[in-house]
Amino acid sequence: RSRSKSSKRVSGFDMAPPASAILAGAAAAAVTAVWKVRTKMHGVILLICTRKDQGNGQVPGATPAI
Amino acid sequence: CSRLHTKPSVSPTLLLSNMYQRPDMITPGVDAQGNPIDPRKIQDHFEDFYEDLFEELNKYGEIESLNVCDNLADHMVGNVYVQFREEEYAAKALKNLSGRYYAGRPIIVDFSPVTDFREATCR
Repeated sequence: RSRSKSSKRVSGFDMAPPASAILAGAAAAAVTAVWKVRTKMHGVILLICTRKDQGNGQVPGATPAI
Repeated sequence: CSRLHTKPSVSPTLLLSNMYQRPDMITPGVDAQGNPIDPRKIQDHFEDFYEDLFEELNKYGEIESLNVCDNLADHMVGNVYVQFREEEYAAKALKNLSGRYYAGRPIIVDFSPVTDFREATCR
């Protein structure tokens, strides 16, 4: 089917998300980071949660899990 | 689809999940602001998308078939199925499209087991 076009089509490929979406994602990441820090103050669970970040599973200053 | 479909490790067909978004996808016949949309504009929007997609996918190899689900129901909504002549073309397209964006949304691409669209039904 032929159709006339008044203007050149703009490709949607590699069109990045709007800045607001990126900022929302960054804010969500920041909340996650805060959550991780807070869990460090709650004993056993915090050791598990921070294992991935700390590498050796030890949180500086924390009492070892029983 | 709520069913667990198997994803082949290689196939001439790719599935680009939920890639097409109709301008009246929230409420049929009206745009996001609630204004009526001329059906011709919806058709032009679809054809622009189809051409844009075809031009990009055609870079990776000869296309056998390109199907876009433009339905408004949840099932398969906006899914794009592209079948290349050769598996290697599909693999090349998968590699090149992964991690990219289309119209501000990430492209979700996987191999699809569908090789004959006349027989393609959800089983």
